[in-house]
Amino acid sequence: MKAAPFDYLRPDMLDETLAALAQYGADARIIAGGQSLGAMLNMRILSPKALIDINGLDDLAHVSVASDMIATGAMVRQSDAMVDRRIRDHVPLLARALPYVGHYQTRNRGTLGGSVAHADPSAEIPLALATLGGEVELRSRRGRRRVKAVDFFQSALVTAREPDELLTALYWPARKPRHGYAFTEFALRHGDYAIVAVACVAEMTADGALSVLRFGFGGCGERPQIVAREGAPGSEHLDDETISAMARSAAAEIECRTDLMASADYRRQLAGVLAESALAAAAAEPVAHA
Amino acid sequence: MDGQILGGFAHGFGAGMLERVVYSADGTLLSGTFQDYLCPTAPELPHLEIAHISTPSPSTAHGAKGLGDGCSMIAPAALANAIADATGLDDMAPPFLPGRIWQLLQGKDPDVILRQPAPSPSALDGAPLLQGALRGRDRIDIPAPRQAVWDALLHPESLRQIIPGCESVELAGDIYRARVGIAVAGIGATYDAELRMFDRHEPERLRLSGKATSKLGFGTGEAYVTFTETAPGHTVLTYEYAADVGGRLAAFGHRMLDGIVRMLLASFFSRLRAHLRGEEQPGRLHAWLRSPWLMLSAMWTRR
Repeated sequence: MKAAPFDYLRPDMLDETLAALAQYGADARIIAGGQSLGAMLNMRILSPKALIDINGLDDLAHVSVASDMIATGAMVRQSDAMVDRRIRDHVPLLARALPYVGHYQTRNRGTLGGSVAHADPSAEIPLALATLGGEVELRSRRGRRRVKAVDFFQSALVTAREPDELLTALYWPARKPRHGYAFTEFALRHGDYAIVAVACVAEMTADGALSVLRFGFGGCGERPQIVAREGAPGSEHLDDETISAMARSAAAEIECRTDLMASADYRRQLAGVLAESALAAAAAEPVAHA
Repeated sequence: MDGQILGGFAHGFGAGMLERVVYSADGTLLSGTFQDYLCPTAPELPHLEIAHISTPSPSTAHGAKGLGDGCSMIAPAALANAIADATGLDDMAPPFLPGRIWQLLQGKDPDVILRQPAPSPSALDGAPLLQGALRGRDRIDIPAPRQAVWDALLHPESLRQIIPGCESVELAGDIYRARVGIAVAGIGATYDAELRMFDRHEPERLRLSGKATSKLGFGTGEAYVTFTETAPGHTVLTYEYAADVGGRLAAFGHRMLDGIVRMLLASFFSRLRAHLRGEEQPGRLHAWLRSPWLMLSAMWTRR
């Protein structure tokens, strides 16, 4: 199939883009890399009146570093983010998630902002953002606002973005001392939608005990699901048995769906297994850096 | 010849490990894209070592024989034998998807995903059987008298105001006809819905059954609703529904969330409460109901 006819707009300026969004509202779709949207247009699941192409907005393709936050513009390509030193150094969780995003070719076009705006329940970039406690910047003619990622993702493909808003940037909390970060997933083929994806952030005390633990689970429910354990969740010594028990108790708390690829029971089992390896890797990182 | 053997093996590996044509009970093809019908690509294929045992045919000119196809036929059998050896399972059918093998190892139905749940009696007292793969139930507290809740829910004009995206509602006898524009996540369509009321015991309970169609597909469903006045001016509404979806909605909706139904119901009831308080309804659609088809896909999606 081919896409139904639509008006095509390619503004060069943010103001123009926001004006077009104000005019078309929910009848418009924004296209960045088009790696998800293109297929949906061709299958005519979507038939918008207008397609607003933001590839001309060069200002949205920048990465900037502040003391505790890294901002990535909506148009930063996934492939560029993968090789960006600042992202590798300051947002290791994102750097580790990116190789799982689609394929080499799709990452050349796909953007960080597009993946977050699309909000696929299995997507890696939204999962990394939500697990880190990041934020989404939205702009419209009415102004600018920042929404916490956990509030931004409301359901599958449903976000807090209003029809006249453009996702302009993502804010990633910078790497913190004594924190470890890990990302892993299982898909039937490389680059497929993850059946389960797990992100893990672990803070270790100076004497090697676990002090903060955050798991993010993707692919299981309708949006990224976060399971957090604050305040000395671990025993003195984080042995394999403790890691396994913590992973499985986190996996027991999340919602799991059944679809063509996997049953809910299988997903939960897989979530526990992946969480175990993610926690082991995250907990080992601060030690390795010490 | 090695290339032909490798190609044959790749076909056999796909049949054994990944590829599956799935239909819903109403005949909708659910594995209609290469996102659902998985073909092996280079990274999935294991390394293959090829050895030749050469036995020329005595009855052809150069001793020639067929070559490539054999590998596509033996690959699924070899994979099944390997899985049987590793797990002790002795009865399995391809494709050997990890999730299916895991179900078998748990002593469960490997294709639980494809089964149509049997009609089950409702949990609500005295309720009839409900049919449909997508099910839900809830209990809603509404600070209004029972009769007022009943009237708001059954009157066409108030329904038009309460249903998110509703363009029109008409009531003829026991049948409501409505046009509802639903856009969840920008995926939108206008649905023509027909709902029939029966077992109507004003103002205590009623049953609804209906269908909705749009260019994206169709859905059928039924619901059972009860109204209980727990205190003066305070009503508890319970509902239970079961639904099915067909057409493109089913084919594309299966990765999309049952949760959308819950969101839509939550929106509906928040609008109902606002309506009963005499408040203006929020604009055409509730803030988060922008992406239309998911609403109905949600209402009728099966997985």
